Amino acid sequence: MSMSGAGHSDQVLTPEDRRNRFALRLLGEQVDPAYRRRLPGGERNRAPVTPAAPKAGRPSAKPGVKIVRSACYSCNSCCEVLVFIDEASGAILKVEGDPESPVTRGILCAKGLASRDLVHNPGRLRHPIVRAGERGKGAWQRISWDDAMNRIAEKLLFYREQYGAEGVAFLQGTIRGWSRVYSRLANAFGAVNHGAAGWGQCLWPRLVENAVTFGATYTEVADFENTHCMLVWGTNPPSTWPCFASQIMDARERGAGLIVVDPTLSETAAKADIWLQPRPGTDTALALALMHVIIRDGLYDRGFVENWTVGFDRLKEHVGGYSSEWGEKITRVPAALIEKAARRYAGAGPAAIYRCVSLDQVHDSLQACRAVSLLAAVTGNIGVPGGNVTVSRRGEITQNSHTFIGYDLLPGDKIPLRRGIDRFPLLCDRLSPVPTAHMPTLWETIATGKPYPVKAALIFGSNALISYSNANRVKEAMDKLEFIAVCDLFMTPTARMADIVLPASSWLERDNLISSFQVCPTTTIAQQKAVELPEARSDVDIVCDLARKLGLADHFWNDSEALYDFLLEPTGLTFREFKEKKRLFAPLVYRQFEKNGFNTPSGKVELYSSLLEKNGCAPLPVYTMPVESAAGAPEGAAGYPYILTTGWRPPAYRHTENRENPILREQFPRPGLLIHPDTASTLGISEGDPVVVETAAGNATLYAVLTLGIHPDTVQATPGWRGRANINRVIPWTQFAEGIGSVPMRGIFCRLRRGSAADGAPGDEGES
Amino acid sequence: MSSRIFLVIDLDRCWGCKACEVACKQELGLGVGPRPMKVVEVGPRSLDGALHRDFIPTLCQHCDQAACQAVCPVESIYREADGSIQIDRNSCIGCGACVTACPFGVMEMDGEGGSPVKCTLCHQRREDGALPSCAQHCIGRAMTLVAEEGLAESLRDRHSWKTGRIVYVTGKWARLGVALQETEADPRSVPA
Repeated sequence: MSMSGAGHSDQVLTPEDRRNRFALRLLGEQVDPAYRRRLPGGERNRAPVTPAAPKAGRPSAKPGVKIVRSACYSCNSCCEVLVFIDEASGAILKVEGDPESPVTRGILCAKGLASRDLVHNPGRLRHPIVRAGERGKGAWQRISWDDAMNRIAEKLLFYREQYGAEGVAFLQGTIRGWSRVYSRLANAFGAVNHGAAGWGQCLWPRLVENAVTFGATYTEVADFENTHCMLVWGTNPPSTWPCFASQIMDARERGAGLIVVDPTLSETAAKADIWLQPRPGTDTALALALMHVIIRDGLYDRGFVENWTVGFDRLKEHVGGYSSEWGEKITRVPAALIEKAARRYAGAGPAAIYRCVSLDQVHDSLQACRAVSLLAAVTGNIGVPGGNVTVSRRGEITQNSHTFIGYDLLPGDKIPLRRGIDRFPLLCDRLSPVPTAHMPTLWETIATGKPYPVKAALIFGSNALISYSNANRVKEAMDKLEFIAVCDLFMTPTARMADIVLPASSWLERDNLISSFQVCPTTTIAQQKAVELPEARSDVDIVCDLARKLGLADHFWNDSEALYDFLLEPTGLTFREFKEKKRLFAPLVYRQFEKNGFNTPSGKVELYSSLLEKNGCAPLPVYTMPVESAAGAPEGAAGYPYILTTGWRPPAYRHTENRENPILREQFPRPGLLIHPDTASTLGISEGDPVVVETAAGNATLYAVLTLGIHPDTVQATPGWRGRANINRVIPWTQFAEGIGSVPMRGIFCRLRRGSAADGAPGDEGES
Repeated sequence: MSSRIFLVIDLDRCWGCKACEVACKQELGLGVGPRPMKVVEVGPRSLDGALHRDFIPTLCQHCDQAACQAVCPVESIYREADGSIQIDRNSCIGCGACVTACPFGVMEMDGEGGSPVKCTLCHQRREDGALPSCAQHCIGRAMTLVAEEGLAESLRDRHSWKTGRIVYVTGKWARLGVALQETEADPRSVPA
């Protein structure tokens, strides 16, 4: 993974060689043993317990420089930032973390620091355009906003007239504003086929799981600040949730234990006290084996279980057979390590589980999420300092999700037409925070016209051609669409297929009200317009405008500011006043359940879930074999001997974003595939070689990155690249998670071979 | 800024996320190319039956005996009162001798015909009362700015290595009995 040997003659060493050699030697690698001093009594050299927290002053503005306080939207962390503007030119000089933020204390990740490029990148879309030639050929004509909106409204109304509102798909991606206004537009329009690449694959399984188990509205908080032990499950916060990474580091230095579950030696796993390396897709089995040990050894919290849960006896009986030896057989994590991790987690005092998208992307997503969070429930780590705190409020500006998205605006007779609702009620029906279509089912409908035609798509902030699984099939479906309108920042492969493209504003160019329940459910902050691109507009403004053109003005606000005023009503502030204040911060409330109970049918934590039972799903987490397993499909195992997982997310990128940014691209220039050196050697693959990953669904080409930190039968790909490098080309639609329809993306059988010239270049630059 | 300062880098707290690299480039106004701060990954490697993966932020060490300063033909490289090594842009002729001389490989030319760039320890930011940009933004909060008077205290019971103003510290490697070291720690011993 890193550079290996370094020579010894400085005469021939480049600066980079010298740099690498320095780093290696500093940690005693390739150093003459005579130089390697063994310290007597290593224990005495333990690090001091005081955290080394630097005190940061706030940079002051120079004459001619204006500082705008805002919040980064490079991801959903919403870190508070300072944007430095040159007053003469209006150009952004730099984007920095805000040392006064109580959440970040001034940190900011690579993506946020490099985000001025969003405004200055020559590839930014700067005005509305309409297709002026054959689809996908790149011939465009500039049009006015008014013209663009009229044309889109006219087309959407035409297709609704011809085929019914179900014939128009409303697709969205990581819009990251008050993106729920887009759902409101879909519902007001009557579009049952509304959804996103992410929802069934990201967050929705955890949200639904929180709802059925704890009666909570949002995802749980891991209270790192007060914890004695952290169980980080399949996530790598330094890449994806920087605030959590800093909190984990502080807790660790305080002496809190760190247990990490990851199929690779991620940056987080590298810091762990206990690293559990399961076979991808076996998370449920690992969690059940941990539960077995906790119950068998009486490590659970008897008081909490007795007073605040239902179904413990059934759970106890259920996990009786899931011993650590059984766990080892399924997950290949050594039984002794499972026992050790269970004792450490359950015996540490308050312990916090931190999980993220990986559990949403296994073949049994909802069951995996439940199996993990029940560990917190039986150990009494719910709602207590240092544990997991369930959350149902979003700072000061809580909205009922179904009310806000106007779910009742949807005609009742249309709802059964939503694609996927018969099989995946937890995604498509009332239990879902935003009821959505099951996207693979919808794409098949678009491709085949069955059971009814879907002819038009409005796509906001989603690079659909890249971000959906089974990308080749999605492309076939998109080719069938008669009308496509796309709103985005850049000319993505998806935008290239459109008939009309709208330029969205980036976060640096718009006002916004933020309450990110994922990072800090108790803070509400203002994002402030720092610069202006004359024709780029915020998604909220575009949605409000389009609603007027569609005759739906009654259900919408005049513009984004009117929406923010409405959302802020409970605080008694207008958005303008709030911008001055910048943030509202409410402390986390512990043990709320002692007052209100849990908002489940039983009023308690449902270890045995009555809501799942009612919806035809297993009420206790059951381990089911993935189709893509040797036992589940022996022929598959024979033809496709390796296991693919797609969770390698470098800190420079988020999903399909940021590849246009030269500074971030320099850090991570090529689509990488982690592969064990023994496997690489068997296949004749060297570091940096192109590797073709093949499944029945298709193939993708990425570049080999050799590492000891992965099992020899497993490879891990970076998702989100374009062209042949798009790993979504190999993800099949052969199995969906029970009740919620997630597509398994972690643990797919594949074949590997060294790529040759005949395969062509991965072509990640443009072509889809 | 009369006191001499040190940047203490806690290797146990470095996540390898490279935020510091971007922070540094932004502060120095650099585009694609030179990286005055670069995080080098060591591993994964197997030691005593366990896999280790470590990250070393590499940057100008502001050496006590600075090879770059010694070789500069026009004496453009000088030491500030705070102990940091700086380049005087006005007199630098861009010959690149310093880049060749640096034993740590942390000086680079900024483009063809450009001038050498390296860490300034954010001299200007510190004058303004802010931390060096890498230290402020570090997601592991691995970097601390320490005045000379406080250095001994912040290194107490830790394992450390330095050759100038940058101090690498670790508890993990001390526990594992591996000493932080650089075999040719004295930069003068490295041929230019």
